[in-house]
Amino acid sequence: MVMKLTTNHSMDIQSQYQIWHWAFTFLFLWRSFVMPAAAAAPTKIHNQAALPATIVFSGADPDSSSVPGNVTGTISFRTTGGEINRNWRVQVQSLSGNTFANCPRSIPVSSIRVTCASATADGGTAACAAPFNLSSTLQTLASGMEGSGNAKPYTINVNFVFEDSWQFIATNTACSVSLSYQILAD
Amino acid sequence: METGKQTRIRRYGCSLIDKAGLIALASLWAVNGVPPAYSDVATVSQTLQAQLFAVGKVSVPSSLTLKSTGTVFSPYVGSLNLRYRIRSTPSGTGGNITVQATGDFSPSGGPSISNGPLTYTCSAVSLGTPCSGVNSVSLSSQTNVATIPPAACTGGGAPCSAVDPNSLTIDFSLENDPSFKTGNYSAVVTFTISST
Repeated sequence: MVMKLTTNHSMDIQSQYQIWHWAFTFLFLWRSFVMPAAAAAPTKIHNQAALPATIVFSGADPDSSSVPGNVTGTISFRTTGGEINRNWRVQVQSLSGNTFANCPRSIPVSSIRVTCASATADGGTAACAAPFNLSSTLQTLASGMEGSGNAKPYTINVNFVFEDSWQFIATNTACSVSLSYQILAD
Repeated sequence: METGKQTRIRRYGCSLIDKAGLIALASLWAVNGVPPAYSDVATVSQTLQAQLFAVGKVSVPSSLTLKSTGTVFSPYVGSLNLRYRIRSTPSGTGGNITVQATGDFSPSGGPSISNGPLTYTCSAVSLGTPCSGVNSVSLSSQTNVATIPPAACTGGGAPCSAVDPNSLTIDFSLENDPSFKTGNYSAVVTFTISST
């Protein structure tokens, strides 16, 4: 009886030892190889710009429902301290709420179709998100992995199409929507 | 034997305090330096502008036959359904639909618009105000069919019209003068819609 009890107790202690051994081994490896990269200097975003400052739609015939903007928009920025294993993302939203501002009657911002035409990230990766209709909540335009190193340029070309309708009354002055692009880097 | 086993227990076992301390240290060691969700966030703005011009479109059948009502020398009549879409600015004067004859009846020997035998009335307008009374079609000027108010738009209900397209009815009447020679006569009339 005494011998059996002693044997079982000895196996429990060994199991505990193995658990602690593997836990510390995992932590050691993680701190040695994963944490150094994660703890490196954070990525910084610089020189962000959205051009042109204003894009204009001229709705002359509601039957041709898709009215392209007069030009393609371009969002550009640079990063410093970027790492290839970190993510970046550009999102856009209307700051004018769900309708155009300065319109005699409500025209929904969802009548604007936003399409990422192309995206590039020097030294990293870039992918356009699927087209979407503008809203007052942030929607992703493009994303990818950062380019390593400093002053890496990123460029996103965006096409806007206004979906005109006979249900929109004519405007005496231009209605407007303020867009806000949010650029995020890990 | 008993003494030896007790020595092994001390070597591999941990007290509750020891375990808590080790867990705390391991946790601090593991999470220290983990970067935030995003290292940097920047925003930039842009403006979209839309100018929606006042515009209107009108559609009518390519031809309309005026028929006798059967009574001797009673006028020839026909009803035309005119369809239109329009949008106008709040500060403009609205819109208008007009009609004008761009060619008199041919061949000669029959009715003549210049003598005023072709008249019309307007009714059943879905957006705007129809012309009032009996009006004569003119060869020299446009005459009113309907008036559209400012800040108008077509379809979808308030503030626009409920129907799309909008429509109105025009009833034409051609004088049946016994001096006209028998035969088929035709004239061209043009409808115009404008909006401000």
